[in-house]
Amino acid sequence: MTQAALALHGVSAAYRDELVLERIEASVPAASLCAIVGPNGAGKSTLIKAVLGLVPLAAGSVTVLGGTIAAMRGDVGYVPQSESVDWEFPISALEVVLMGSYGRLGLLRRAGRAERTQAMECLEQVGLAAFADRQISQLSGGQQQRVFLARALMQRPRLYLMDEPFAGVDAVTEEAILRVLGALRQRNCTIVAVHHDLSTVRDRFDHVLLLNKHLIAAGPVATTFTAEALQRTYGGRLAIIADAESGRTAVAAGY
Amino acid sequence: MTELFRLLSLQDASTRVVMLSTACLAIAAALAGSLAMLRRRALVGDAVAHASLPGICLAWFVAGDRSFAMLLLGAFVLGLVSMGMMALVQRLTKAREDATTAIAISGFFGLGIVLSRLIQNQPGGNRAGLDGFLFGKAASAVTSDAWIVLAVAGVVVATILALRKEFGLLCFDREFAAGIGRPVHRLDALLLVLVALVTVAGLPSVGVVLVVALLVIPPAAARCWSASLGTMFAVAAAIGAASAIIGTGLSAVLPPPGGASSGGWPTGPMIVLTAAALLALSLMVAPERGLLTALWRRHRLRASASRSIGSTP
Amino acid sequence: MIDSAIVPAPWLTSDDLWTIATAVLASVACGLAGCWLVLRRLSLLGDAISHAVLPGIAGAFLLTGTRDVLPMLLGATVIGMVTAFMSSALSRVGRVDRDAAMGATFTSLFALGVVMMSLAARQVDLDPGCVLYGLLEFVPFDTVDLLGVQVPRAAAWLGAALLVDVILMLAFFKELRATSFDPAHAASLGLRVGLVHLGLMAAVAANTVVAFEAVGSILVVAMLVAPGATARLWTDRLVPMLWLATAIAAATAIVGYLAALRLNTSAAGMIATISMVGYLGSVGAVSLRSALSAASSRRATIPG
Repeated sequence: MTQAALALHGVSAAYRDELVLERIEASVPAASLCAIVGPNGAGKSTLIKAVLGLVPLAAGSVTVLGGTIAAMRGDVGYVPQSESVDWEFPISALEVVLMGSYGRLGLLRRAGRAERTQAMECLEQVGLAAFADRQISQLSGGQQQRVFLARALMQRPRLYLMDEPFAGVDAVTEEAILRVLGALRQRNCTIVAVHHDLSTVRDRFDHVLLLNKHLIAAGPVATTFTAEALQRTYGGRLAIIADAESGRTAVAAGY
Repeated sequence: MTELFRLLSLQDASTRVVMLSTACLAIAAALAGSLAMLRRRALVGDAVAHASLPGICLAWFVAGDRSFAMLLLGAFVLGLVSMGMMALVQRLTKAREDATTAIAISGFFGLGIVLSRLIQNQPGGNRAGLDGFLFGKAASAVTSDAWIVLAVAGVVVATILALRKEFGLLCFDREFAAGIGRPVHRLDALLLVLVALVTVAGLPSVGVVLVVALLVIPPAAARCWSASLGTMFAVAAAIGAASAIIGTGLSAVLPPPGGASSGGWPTGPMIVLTAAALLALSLMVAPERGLLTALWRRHRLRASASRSIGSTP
Repeated sequence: MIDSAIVPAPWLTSDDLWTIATAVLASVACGLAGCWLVLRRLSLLGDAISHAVLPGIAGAFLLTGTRDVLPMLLGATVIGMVTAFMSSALSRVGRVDRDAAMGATFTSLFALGVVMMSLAARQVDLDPGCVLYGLLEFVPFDTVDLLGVQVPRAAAWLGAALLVDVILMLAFFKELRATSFDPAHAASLGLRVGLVHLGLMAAVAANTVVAFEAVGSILVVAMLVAPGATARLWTDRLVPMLWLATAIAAATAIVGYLAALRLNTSAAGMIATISMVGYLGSVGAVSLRSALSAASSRRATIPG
């Protein structure tokens, strides 16, 4: 087995003075597409932030691409939920993508022509080259999400951490994002994404972490993403309708 | 010492009225301020206060003398103008609301200084009366002025208590309030008028620069103690009234800091400092989130996390 | 008489020119730093800091007994940072929004400052009123020798502040931009979001203090916020916004001073008034422009 892209060793983390993750022990193999699944408040976003070092660990440690996050930061791309974004900020789509290079530029160096060309290529990959000069708030929600994906591409990472990349996007964007993710995997990149839509986990991902404060299960989708495991993840709040013919599970989560 | 006794025992009729009116005003401000804060418009009062300075000057130009009621009326009118201006800018553009507020605060105040200097230049114009409005002079106020303040405070408190349910709903969930047919626009406007009223009525005692403290500090302190509107009203009102009485009293009885010739302790800052002390106390020891309380909780959390690690096989 | 009304130069003395230069330096230095406050929705923190530095200044005076700029700068910068810290603590503990927290903090500190000044009243010519509207008119009377030229002390300090502002902004442009636009992502890149915020607060506080003595706390607010907010109305781009803010800051200072001179009134007050008039005028012009372009695009979609 190849080296794990992401390994969590007994990770506990708190959000606003409350433990939301307890002793998570899991690993994600390299070159996989991994979904983090669990109910609201299960600590999914906190897990991603803890991996990035944005939330302090109460206990345990994280290994990213064989090293610590501090050492490997340049190889990790992050697509956050856009809650912290300032939409009225005077900035164009291209300039947003350019920010992906800020980490490796380091102090005092500015983005130059090479970075601009590269940023343009990243916009092309997500199909937004024509919108490079638009102010960010003048793009649709789906287009904005693709700009943030392009910004992650700009970082040229080997591991992508995404917080609900498919939340509230239209079909075109979903298609575009899936295409990019597929291409990334071809290049041996690893993608870990928080995902809410249980009905599409089987189609889009090959690996899954089921999370509800504790780790419920982790492993390949085919063997791990079972009705029984989901039941344990969501407690009694889930109705699962097994479709015998297609072998798929249709799920309805109730809150 | 005898003066202190006279003051505390409220023997002196005029002191009694002045203190009473300042305390009632602080209560009215605490209630209006609580609502304004919950509606996320805490600093609107600051813009009104600063806009009142040109209002006072304009009233001086129009009325020609320093009739207390006229000056307050001028302040009130310009306060409403500043609110209308901010609302209009918000409607016309997506300009940042905080920037508009900051610009209104300094712009109107600048205009006030321009006008007051012009008054000073005029024959017979002196700024002594206007200067009193900058930092407040409650202790030296006259009884008839105090009655005006008392009346305004009474109207504001009565209105808020009468519409307590509606205002609570407006602050908590404006969309829902509109959905069940409450006139949310008019309620919002009414709240702003109430804020303007207490702000202007507070000018003589606390002054232009600091009057917003009466609207902000007691509610902020009360918020540390309680999450329910009713309790918050009660705690804020108590803190406001206590600050007004203690602050006014201190500034009247303390010996002047710079010797007998100096101006003595400014009333407004003394009231605000008293309120600030109560706020600091609330911040420290409030249940749940007080700084000392939180330190203790964090300590316990860390202990429990390390215990749970220790129990791992 | 009519001629001199059209050409202002003849009745401008060299003192006037130095005062205008000082006002322009203050306006541009504050305006550039203030752009970032406006972009980060911290305009009112500028208001808060400009009030709250008062106890820092008064405290430095009470301790040293002089009106030296350096101790005051130090005292006020510390207090400025205290304001930023206390506001955030209050909004966390009291669950009050940021505005209310700032309002509570800066009024408390300003009150403290006024009382401290009363304490010092016997020994000083520090006057709370002057703190509010400054002493711009007296700037030329306090000069220092700079390479053989008598330069107003305030102008020298403000020039230095502007230089430091520009150098810092050029050096940390991408950090400022990234942490303002999307702090969560900037942190994931390894940028020190908290450090950038702290640095910006320190820069604003330092600028405020340096400008404070010359123009007073109320005008400092106008100088911090108005140029950036006005420029933002006209452009959707960051770099043009910074240039435009610089031009607006300089123009406001010049026009304000000349108007005050004509009317024989407070220069600081006039500059603040002109700032607001410029902002309101821009709001009107920009919304008129967008209304017109919306109307013409409606007309264009109707087949003729």
